[in-house]
This record gives sequence, structure tokens and C-alpha cells, in this order.
Amino acid sequence: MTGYLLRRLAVSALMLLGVSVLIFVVLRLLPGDPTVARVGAAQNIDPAALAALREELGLNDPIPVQYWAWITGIFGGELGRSYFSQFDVTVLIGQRLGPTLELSAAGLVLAVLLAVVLAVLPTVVRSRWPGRLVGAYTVTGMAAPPFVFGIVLLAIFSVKLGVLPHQGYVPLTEDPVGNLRTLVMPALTLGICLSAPLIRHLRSELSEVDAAAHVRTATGKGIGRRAVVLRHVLPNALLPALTSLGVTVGGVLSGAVAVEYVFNWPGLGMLIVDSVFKRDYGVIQGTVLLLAAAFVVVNLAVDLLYGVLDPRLRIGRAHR
Amino acid sequence: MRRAHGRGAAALALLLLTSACSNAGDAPPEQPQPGADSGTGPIAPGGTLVYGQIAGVSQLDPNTIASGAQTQLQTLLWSGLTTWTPQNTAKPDLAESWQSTPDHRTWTFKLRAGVKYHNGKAFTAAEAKKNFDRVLDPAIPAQVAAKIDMIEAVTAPDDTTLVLTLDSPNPELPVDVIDVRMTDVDDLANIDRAANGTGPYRLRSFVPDQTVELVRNDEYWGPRPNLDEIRIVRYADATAANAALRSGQVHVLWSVAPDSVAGLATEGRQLLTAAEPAGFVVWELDTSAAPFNNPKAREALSYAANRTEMMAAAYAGYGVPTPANVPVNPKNRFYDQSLPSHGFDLDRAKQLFAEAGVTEGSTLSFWAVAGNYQEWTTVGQILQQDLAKIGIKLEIQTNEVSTWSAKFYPKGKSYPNLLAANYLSFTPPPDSYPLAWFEGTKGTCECNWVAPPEYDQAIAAIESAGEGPERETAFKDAQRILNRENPVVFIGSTAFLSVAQPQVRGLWVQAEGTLHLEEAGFAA
Repeated sequence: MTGYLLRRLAVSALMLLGVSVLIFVVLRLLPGDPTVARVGAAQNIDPAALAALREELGLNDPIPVQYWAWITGIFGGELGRSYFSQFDVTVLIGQRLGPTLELSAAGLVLAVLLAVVLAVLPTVVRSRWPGRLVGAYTVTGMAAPPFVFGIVLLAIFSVKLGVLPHQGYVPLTEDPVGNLRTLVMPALTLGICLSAPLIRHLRSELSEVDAAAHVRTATGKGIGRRAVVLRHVLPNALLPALTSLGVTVGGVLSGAVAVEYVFNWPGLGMLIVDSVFKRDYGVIQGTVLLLAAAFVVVNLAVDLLYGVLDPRLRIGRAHR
Repeated sequence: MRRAHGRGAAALALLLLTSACSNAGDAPPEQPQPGADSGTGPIAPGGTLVYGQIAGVSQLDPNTIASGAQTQLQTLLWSGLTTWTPQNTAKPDLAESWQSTPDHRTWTFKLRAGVKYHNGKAFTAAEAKKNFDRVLDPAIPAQVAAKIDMIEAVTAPDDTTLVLTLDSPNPELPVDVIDVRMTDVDDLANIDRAANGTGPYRLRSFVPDQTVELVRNDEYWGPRPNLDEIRIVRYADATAANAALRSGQVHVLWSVAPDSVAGLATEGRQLLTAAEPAGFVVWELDTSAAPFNNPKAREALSYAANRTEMMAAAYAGYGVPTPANVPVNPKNRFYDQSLPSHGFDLDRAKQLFAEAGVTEGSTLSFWAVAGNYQEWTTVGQILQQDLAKIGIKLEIQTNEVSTWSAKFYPKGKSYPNLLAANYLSFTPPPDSYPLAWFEGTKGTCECNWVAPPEYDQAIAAIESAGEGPERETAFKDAQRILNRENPVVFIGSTAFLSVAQPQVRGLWVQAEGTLHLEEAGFAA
């Protein structure tokens, strides 16, 4: 187990290194100049002042030199500074991390609840319609981008009914009720989008387990359908679905990007989008690296959790 | 079933036709008329004003300002020696008074005593000198430097006296120094946390590109500000911002898209814009590369621009076409009314294009921005349709903003065959700013135009002559040369449109579109 863990950690570190190189190089291949964006595309800027700014920001150095300065800075605990504001990248991320985590957690909880209920329902109620409706929900959820759901929710609950604020964010510490009111629609949007692939995976597992011998035995004993599904089918189907959940959790932060943009949610997604428009390299690099690290860590944790939950899968045990 | 559908469609078509016919004779819906200020009347002290915009504030250095979205902060957090009046003249701010020598080469500003930065540090003439020295440092990307680059030396003989010595005369210096904002230069590292200005409001919090929260500065040297707080909120797009205004969550919305204004400025809401707009819708051209290195091609393009239709369609009529093709609003007193008009004339455009080698079958590119500037693209689409009538193809490309600007900015870039759509704001005459943009080696127009010596002489005369015939003539000379040479095509003059809730008072809009909030409040 220790060897496996070390191997996975080493692979994860290499993956993050690859991501860091990729994002660094790709950003510099994009057209656009951060110094031009920094002073605005306005008249009356002396090109010499822009050249001086490029020099000050180190943008005239060869890319490998720039990369080395950045990556060694990270090992020293420095993610760099925004080319625009005076803030360290860590401060900017700190300002945005809370709202993103809150939205991601709420979206994930909703996604899991929706997934379990909607996946189990057609299995318990063996009628054609629940299955079809859930199938339609899944296809729509996977096909439509998050902003579509967001706009639909906005149109209904904010513009038409006027019961929820259409945009913005209120910190939990400032006003818990206001926080909840602003959270509902973005979390629901994220939850719907994340639940669709989870339902698909879970339904497939439920269907497979439902056909297993032990389920037939339980049914043969005269146990009610609901009890069979909840006691014998669902627990066995949940474990394989954990992989899907792992991927979902890892991707939830990046999935929040579009949702944040629609609802003006001041999280990491908005930070990345704004920084890309401005070519604020340091902020993009730092934020993307953080999201990549979150993805890698969550997937590693899920793999390890797999072994904990299912003794058959513990690494090394099969060889004893 | 199929027949029923057909009947339904026919009925619907009839209904639409009837409805269209019945509207045909009606008067067009009344367009809300903009004002330059939000009216007078008693203002109740206190309250929080929420100000919305669809562009974020990225940073808080007032002298290396990054975007128009930042401009409304200039007079809230910081002060200059002088500040704007609605008539585009200078009035005292941190300087109580000023005087110049008769040759306008030495200016002495008498500063207020007892003023403090928000961090408690005293503001003195020595502090003002630090700010001027920083702005004039060639390594600092300060736009305002171009307005005051004639300053040769800055001295502070005592705490309340600042002397600016110029290498050439400048009778308009009090206007030109307005945008030099005083901040604690020794504490620039904290500028985004404390702002460190001397303005009527101080910074409470700043989340780049999201929110800026200001609170009243109780130690402000001037009149007590009306509001307790100002909250500047950025919205991701126009739809969200407009919805916020409609729902009452925002009191003032800046830079509203022209096609949305009529729908928003209802129910008593106020539509605000500048009295004499000095923002210009333009196409920048590379005059050093084909085909626009040929003046005839530039002139042809100017004649091919149906400015009236463009301003009506893209700017909902909230703008003034500029067929004289100069960066001076026809309402400005220095505008030369006798300039030949480049009225829309496709035949003439075709002939001039042909003489410049842009013949039928040629292709030009139009470089616009994706996102919140749809009106630029609309203007391009009108040109595209008109050029097609004379056999010239116009390819419209919309790019995200960094890609767009990198193509032609700063000056010196080569971009042949391309029209770069842009929107430029100028300080209007009597300041030389809009015309000096084209000046020989000093001007920074991305058009790469080499101005003839007579143009530079005219600019020099504008900058050095006091009020009088010499200055008037110089303004006319410069405009005449631009009208003839067309280094840039000016489509129309306009300013950002803002919408304010009925109860908001004390706002006014500057010529280039900045909305002044420093005296804002709510009606008593």
C-alpha cells in the first residue's frame, strides 16, 4: 500500500509539472500582450513606457528563464503577483476561494442527492415513464452547457417570479439568509449539470446489480421491491459509482467557472476568465495549477477510499 | 391536421400583417432624451449608492489607469491640483489658486494646508512633486504624461507652493494637470489596499474586477460628501446589469449599450450623457502600409462611411456623425464649420479606391472586439454592405480584447489592409489633446501617420498661444489638414450613456464620458 501510495504521489507530481509547463507555454503562445492590457488600449502611451513595463515584469526573458523563475518561486511558497493589481496571486486566490468552495460544495451535495433519488426511482418503480423521464433529464443535463440552465433559472425565479436575486454574492458571515438566497440558483445549476453523468453511471450499475443472483434470491424470499433496492441493490451499486463521483468532485471546481460567470459569483472561475482576457499570466498559472492539484488530490483520495470501502480491492492483499 | 396548421399560419401571418399595418402610421416610440446631469434639488445626507458597470476595476493606481471602468474613481479617492468643471475648464482642487508668468512658461500653484492622505500622512508640495516626477518618468506608463510632457522642472520651495517650469509655453496647463492625481508615492505597494489619496471617499475594500467599496472620508478637506458609502459592482454582461437596474438593485448604471437605453430609461429613470461628447467612434488605419499608405484610399474609405446610418443604427441616434472627419465635436466652439464634408458617396469612394489600387474584388479586414461592443460590429456591417455594392469585400473579424489590441497597439505596429475599430475619448478643445495625438514624433496615434510640418506647427501654436486669433487659426489649420489627409476615419462623436434611478441627484457627465459621483446623493 505504501509503495502504491508513493507511486501515485510521484505520478501526481509529474502530472502537475506537466500541467504547469503546458499552461505556461500555451499562455505565451496566445496573441496579446499583458503590458498593453495593463495600461489599457488607450491613446497616448509612449511605446518606450510599455517596453520598460515588459522589462520590469520579466517578459523579455526567454520562456525557459521565465518558467524557472515561476516554478522555483512556487517551491519557495510564492505564486507571483498580478500584473494588474498589486496583490499577490495567493491573495487574489484567497479572495475567491471561499465563494468557489461554497458553490462547489453546495452543487456537489445537490448533485449527489439528485443522482441517488433519480437513479433509484426508476429501479424501484418499474414503470416505463419514470425511466424515460430520468433518461431525458440525463441526456439534457449532459448535453446542455451549464449557462443554459442558469439562464432558464434566472428567467423563471428572478425575472418572472422575482423571488430570488439574479446575481451577486453575500458572504455567509455577513448575512446567512442573503447568502442562501444568492446561492440557490448557482448551486442548483451546478447540481443539475453534475448530477447527469452521476445518474447515468449509477443507473447502469443499479441495472447490473439488479440482475445479480443475490438480488433474485432476496426477491424470491418475498422481500418488497423498495427494500430489495435500498438494502441489496443500491449499496452494491454505489461503490463502482464512486469512481464517477471522484471525477465529478475533481471537475466540480472547473465546472463552476461557467456557472460563476452567469451568476456573477466572485469565485475562481470569474478570476480565471478575467485574467485570460487581460493576459494576467501569473494569476492564470497559479489558479489553473491550484485547480489541477485539487483534481489530482481528489482522484487520489477516491482511489485510496476505494480500497478502504472494498477489501477485495486493497492493493497487495490479493497476492497474499 | 396539416390543413389546420396551414390555416393557423395564415391567420398568424394576417395578424402580423394587420399589426404591422396598424403600426405603420403611428409615430415612432418616443426616445428618452439624455441630460448632462441628474438635476438639482435638496439632497439627504447618508445612504449607500450602488454603481454598476460591465467592466471591472483591475487596479487602483490613478496615474497608470488601465481602463475607462476606473475613471469614476479618479475624483472619489484622489484629488489633483485642479479638477473639472462641467464646462471642461479647471477649477481649484488641492491647489487653491495658481498663476503663470506672461509667457506661460512658469506656473506657481498655491496648495491647501492641512490636507492629509487617507493613511494619515500630510500632503505637501513635496508630495505633489513626487507625483509629478513619477508621472513624467518615461518608464512609468502614465497616459497623462503626454499632456504635460512640456514640464521641464518641478520644485517645491515650501509646503504649500509648487512651481512647474515648462520648456515651451502652455496656457492650458491647469486643465492638463487635472489627471495627475495625488497619491502617497512612498506607499505605492499598498495602493490597492488603502488607495492613499486625499479624496472625499476612502477605500474600504477592493476585489479586483468585482467590487470596490468606498466610505465617506470624514477628514476630507472639502465639503462633507453626501453619501455614507459607494459600492461599485461589476456585472458579467449587459443582460445582468440591465436586470439589476430594473430590479432596483443598482442606482446608477454606466456605459449602457445604446440599444438598451430606450428600454431602461423609463419609469422616471434618468438618461445621462455628456453635453458635448468627446468620445469618437473611429477606424484606425496603418498609413505606413498598403493600401492606406495612399491618402486616396483613406479618403475613399471616409466617403464610403455612411456615418448618419451608422450612428443611427449602432448608437440608437445618441451621437453626432462627423463627416468633416476630425476629432472635434461639431458642438465645440473650435470646430471649423467650413470644413468640406465627406458625405456618404459610394461613387466617389469607388473612384478614389480604384486610383489607390483597391479595385473590384479586393478584400479589406475589419478588426472588432467580441463581447460588449456590438455597436462597433454593427458599424462594420453597414460598411460591409456598402462596400459590397462597389465590389469590395470587407471581412469582419471579432476578437477578444487582448488579441484585438495586440494587432495595432502601440504605434509602430504594421497592420496592412486592416481597419481597426476603436472608441477614443479625448479632452476636448481648448485642450490640444485630440489634435496632438497625430503630432509628428510626439503623437502616439497607432495610425503611424507622418504629419506634415505645417501640422506640427499648428499644434505648437495651439499649445503655446493664449486665447485669441492665433489659437483659433491654429485649430482650424490642424483640422483642415486632418480633413484632407484622413489618417484615421472618424465616424461619429458620442459619449457613454448612463442610466440613474429617479431619486439619484448630483451626478454629472464629463465630455469624454466619465460619470462624476463625488457630489452624488439621494433626493431629500
